[in-house]
Amino acid sequence: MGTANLNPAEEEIFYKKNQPLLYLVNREEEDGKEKIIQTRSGFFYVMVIIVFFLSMAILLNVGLKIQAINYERKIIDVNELISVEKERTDRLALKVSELTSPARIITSAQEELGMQISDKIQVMEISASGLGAQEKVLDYIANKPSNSLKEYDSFLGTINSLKDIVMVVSEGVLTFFIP
Amino acid sequence: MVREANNRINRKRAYFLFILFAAAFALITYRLVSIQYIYASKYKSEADFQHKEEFVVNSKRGKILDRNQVELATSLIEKTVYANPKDVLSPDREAEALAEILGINSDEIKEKLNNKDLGFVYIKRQISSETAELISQLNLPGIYVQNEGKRYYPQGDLAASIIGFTGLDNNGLNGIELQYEKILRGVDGKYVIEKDVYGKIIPGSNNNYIAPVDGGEVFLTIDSQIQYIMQEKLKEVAVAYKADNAIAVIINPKTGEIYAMGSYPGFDLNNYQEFEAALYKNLGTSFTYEPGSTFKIVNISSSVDSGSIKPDQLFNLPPSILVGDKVIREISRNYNVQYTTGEIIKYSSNIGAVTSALAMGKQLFYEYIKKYGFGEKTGIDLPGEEAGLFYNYKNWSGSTIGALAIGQSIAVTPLQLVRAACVIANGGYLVTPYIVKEIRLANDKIEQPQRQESKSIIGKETAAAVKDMMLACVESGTGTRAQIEGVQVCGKTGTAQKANKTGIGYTEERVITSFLGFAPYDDPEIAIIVIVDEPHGPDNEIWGGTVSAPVFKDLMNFSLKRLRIYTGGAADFSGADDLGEVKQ
Repeated sequence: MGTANLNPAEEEIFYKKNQPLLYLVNREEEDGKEKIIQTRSGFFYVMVIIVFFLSMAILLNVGLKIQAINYERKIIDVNELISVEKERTDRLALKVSELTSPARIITSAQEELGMQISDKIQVMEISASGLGAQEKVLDYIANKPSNSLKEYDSFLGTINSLKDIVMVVSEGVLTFFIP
Repeated sequence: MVREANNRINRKRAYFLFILFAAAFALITYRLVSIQYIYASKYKSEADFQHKEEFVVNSKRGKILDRNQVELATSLIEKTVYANPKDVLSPDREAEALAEILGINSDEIKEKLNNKDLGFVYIKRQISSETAELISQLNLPGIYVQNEGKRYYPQGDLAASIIGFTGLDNNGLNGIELQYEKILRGVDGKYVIEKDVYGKIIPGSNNNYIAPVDGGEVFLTIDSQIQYIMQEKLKEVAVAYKADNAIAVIINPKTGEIYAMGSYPGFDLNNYQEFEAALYKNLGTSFTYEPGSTFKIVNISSSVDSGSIKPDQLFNLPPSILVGDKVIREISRNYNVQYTTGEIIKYSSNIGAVTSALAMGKQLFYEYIKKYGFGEKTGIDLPGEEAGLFYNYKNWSGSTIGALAIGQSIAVTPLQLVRAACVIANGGYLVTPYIVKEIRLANDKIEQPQRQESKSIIGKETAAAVKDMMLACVESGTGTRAQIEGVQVCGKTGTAQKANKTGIGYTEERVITSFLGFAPYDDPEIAIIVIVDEPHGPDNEIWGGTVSAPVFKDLMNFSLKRLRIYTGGAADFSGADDLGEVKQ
C-alpha cells in the first residue's frame, strides 16, 4: 500500500507504524505550508555503534578462536616433538642399561679380552673425588708404583698403565666391572 | 450483507488459523520439552555416541631399579594399530592397504573390519614408529594408531623370578610386576574429541583431555652385580654337578633386605614365553624341602635358649639312637664319642642333635620352631611365597622329634632357613625379609613400604653361643671350604636325603646339599644360603661342605667387597692421609 493518496496526517501515522525508529516532524515552510520531513534520532546512531562493536567483537572472537586453534595445534606439535625426544632418550637409556649390564661386560672381558675375575680385589674409596682427587691419586701411585701396581695386578686382568689405575680409583664409588 | 458474510468467513479462517498455529506451537513446545528435558539424557548420550569419540591415553609403566638405580625393567612407547569397524568405509580396500604395510594376511584384517557389531578391534600391536607413520599417512577412515607401552628388561635373565614380567596388555603377571601392579601401572588418561558428520575432528571444539598419571618407580634392595655373580656361580655348580636346581639367597641379617635371590636354571624376561612355566617360580621363596643338618642350628639354639642343654655341656654320643620306631644313625661313625654342644654343630652330629631335641621335649621344640617362623610365610613382599609344612606336636608320631632334630619331617623354604641364620647373626631377632627399598611416585613423592619390626625370639647369649659354634664349624668342622682369607665366617653344612618317590622313607642317591652362614663374625652384615638340589658325582664328594660351601665362599667374598664391608687386607696405604679418606 503506497502513501500517494494519503493525507499528511494519515501519512504520519503510516510512517510511525511502519518505521518506529524514525519519526516525523512538521516544519513550517516559507510559504506557510507544513512539510513533513524524516529525521534520525540519537537512538539510531547508538544502535549503529552497538551493531558495529558487536560485529567487531564477533570478528575478534572468531579471530582469537582461530589463533587459539593454531596455538593448540602448535602445542600438540611441540608435545609430539617432546614425546619423540623423550622416547629417543628412553631408548638410549635402555641401550646404556643393556651395554653396562654385568653379563655383557664380564662376557666381553672374559671372551674378547681374556680377562678373569680375581679374588685379589682391593677396594679403595676416596672421598671428594674429582680432578684434584685424581691428581692426588696419581701422585700417590706415582710415589709408590711398585706396591700399588702389585695390588691391582690381578684386577680383572692386568692393568699396565697408571692412567688405568687412576680411572679405577677416582670413580669414588668403585665399580668392579669398569676398570 | 455480502461484507458481513465475508467478515464471518474471515473470522472463521482466522480462528482456524489461530487454532492451527496454537496446536502447532503446542506440539513444538511439547517436542522441545520432551527432547530437552524429559528424554534429554537419552538424546544426549545418542548425540555423544555420534559426535564424540574417546581415546585412551595409556600411562607409562614405572621402572624397576636395583639398589644402585640400575634399570631392571623399563617401558618404551610402541605403536598399536586398531580400528573402529563402524567408521570403516571400505573394509576390503583398507584391509589390502594395511596388509601390505603390516605384512599380515589381508583376509584376517577384512574379517575384523567387516564385523560392524564391534567398535574396537586390534589390527596389530606394538609396531615400529616408522610403520605406524606410514599407516597414519594413508588417513584411512576408522583406522587409528595409538601409543602403547612395551616392557623391556635390559638385564635379560638377571633376577628374572624376582622382577617378574608383564603380558601384552602390560599387566603384571609375576614377581614385582604383579606385586606392585597398582603402583607400576599408573592411571590411564583419556582424550574426548568431537567429530563432524564425516567423522573428522572439529577443531576448537571443547575437547576433554584427562592426562594420564605415569606409574611409580620401584627400587629394589637387590644389587645387580651380586645378583649376577650369584647366578653365574649357581650355574657353574649346577652344571658341574648336573644338579636339578641350584638356589641361593643373600640377605642382610640385621634388616632383612635381600641383596640377591635366584636359582638356576632361570629364564630370560624378554622371551619368557619360550621357557617352561615352572622356571618362572621364585625358588628362594617357593622351593620347599627338608633342610637336613642346617636345621640343627634351630634345634641347638632352641635347646640352649630354653635351658634344656648348656652351650659347653658334654654329651656321650653313641653311633645310633632309637627314637620311636626308627633308628637314627651317624653318617660316618660307628663308635661312641664325647662331644660338647658346640661340637654337635661343628661335626654335624645327628645323635647329638637328637639328644638335644629329646632334652627339650615335643612341645618346647615345637614352640621354638614356630617362633623361628617355620610353617608360616615370612611376609616378604613377593607373590607366590610358600609357608612350608610343619605339623603340630600333638600329631607327631614317636619318631617325629628325632626326625625334626636332624631337619627331616619338616618342609622349609630357603628364605625361611636363611632367616633362621639371621636370628643367630643379629643377636636373636627374627627379621621380616623385604625386597622393595622404596617407591618413587610420579609426583616425586617417595614412599617406604611398611615393614614389620623385628622381634626377639632367643636371648643374645644363646645367639652368641650358637654363632661361636658356627664359626668353629667353618674353621675346623664340616664347613672348612667356606673359609675366606682374612674374614671370620660362621656357617653350617647340610646334606639332606630326599624322600623316595613312593613317599615312604629316604633315598641316599638323591640328596640336597646346602650351606648356610654369615660373615663377618664380629658384626655380621651378610647371610647366605646355597642349596644344590640333587647334585651328581662320586659318592663321597656330594656333601653340603663340598658342593655348596665353595659357592657360599665365592658369594660371600664378592658380596663383602661389593657392599664395602671392609675386613682388613694386605695392601699398604700408609700414605693415604694425603688423599683424604681411603678405606680398604
